[in-house]
Amino acid sequence: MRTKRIVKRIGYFLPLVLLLALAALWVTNCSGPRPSVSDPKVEAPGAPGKPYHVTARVENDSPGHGQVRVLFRLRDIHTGRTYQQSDQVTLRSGETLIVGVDISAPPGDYRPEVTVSYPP
Amino acid sequence: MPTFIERAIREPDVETPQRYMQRVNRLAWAFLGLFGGAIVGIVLVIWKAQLYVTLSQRSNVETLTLAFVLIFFAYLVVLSAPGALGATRMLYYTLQGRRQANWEDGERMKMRALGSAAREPTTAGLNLAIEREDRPGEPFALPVTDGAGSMGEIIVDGATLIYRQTISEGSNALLAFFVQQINRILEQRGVTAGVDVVEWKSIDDEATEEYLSLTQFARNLERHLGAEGLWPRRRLTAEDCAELEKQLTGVCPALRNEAFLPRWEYQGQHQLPLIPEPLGLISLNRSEKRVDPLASMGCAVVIVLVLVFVLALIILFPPWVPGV
Repeated sequence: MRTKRIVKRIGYFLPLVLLLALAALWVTNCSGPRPSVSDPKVEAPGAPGKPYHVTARVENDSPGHGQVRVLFRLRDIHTGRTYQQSDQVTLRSGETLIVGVDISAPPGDYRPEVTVSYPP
Repeated sequence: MPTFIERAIREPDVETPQRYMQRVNRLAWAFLGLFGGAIVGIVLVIWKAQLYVTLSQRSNVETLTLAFVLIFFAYLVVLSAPGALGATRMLYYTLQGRRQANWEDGERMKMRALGSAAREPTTAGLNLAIEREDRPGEPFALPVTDGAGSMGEIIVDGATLIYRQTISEGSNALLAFFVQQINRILEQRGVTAGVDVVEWKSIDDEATEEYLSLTQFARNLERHLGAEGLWPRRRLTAEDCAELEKQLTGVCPALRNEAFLPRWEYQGQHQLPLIPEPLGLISLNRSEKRVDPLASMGCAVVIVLVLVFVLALIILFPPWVPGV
């Protein structure tokens, strides 16, 4: 009797559970990357007239893969003036990359700011 | 006799006063869920608008779909707002009632909050005529009242069932409850029941008037010819009526709670396209004369929750799109 009641109750919620499971499967199996960025660094140019080199660690903690856009900014801490450069990289599932770009800017004190976005 | 599914759509969970109360509580939660779910949906779409717009454009889905989703949620907010407000009031007065010295005072508070009736009574047409054994052919009334006060009366006049309420609007669900009680009592006595509501005046007044005139015509003809039973009927004993009164007393608190909620009384239509559009060669169609608000609102809540779930899932796991 109790088993019958439990089966009946499961029967009520089964369509909803199936629907939610289908939606979850669809999204998780067709999902793209979920990128995060950390550890932005800037290297001063080795010689006058050369560009600054900005790097950051880009991590994908999603089971999905795909192309992401990484935006690098150099902000002058005195004037607030910014210089930017973007790059596109492809991330695999669980992959971590060190991404870097060269940004041409006049000599100064710069703070690196890096953001990553998906979809690019 | 209606099947389980048909009953679940027309009049779910009104077999006993306790179940009636559960149904009202579920309906209140459905309104709150619909309102809250739609608000969450709007917030998600606006909060992550950039993500959804980019995804829709990159995946060849029209961005207009997002506008449709927003309008859909906004529509549901407007639709469910009176219900959510009613459910909140119901909850407030239920909690206030628990603080009173006795439950009757709490129920009276609800009645004062609901105000007096100004609407016309709720009427339904039965497939069979109902009459009392001791007063055949005469209409009879059963009070809907308990210790906290009167909620009105149910008048049975042949195949006409009228709920004359004292507060707020009437309730079709009460009439459905009443009919289920008649069936249960008759079956317990070993009499063939099969009483069912076939017309609801609040849903289709013209068809109900037409049908009730026809049943009245049959009764007039019976009297004129002196022939009993031209229109099929069931007879209730005095004990049956006493049992019905007892059940109606038990359902009064649920009726007061229900009166806080709006009445969503509509017909229902279910279409099952076997060969869908644009061909649309075969489509199955089924309609119900009344869909209980719990069934309709419950379906809407499920749809909203699924949609909100998918929106949230897209935020957590954005779908793959081709690179640029």
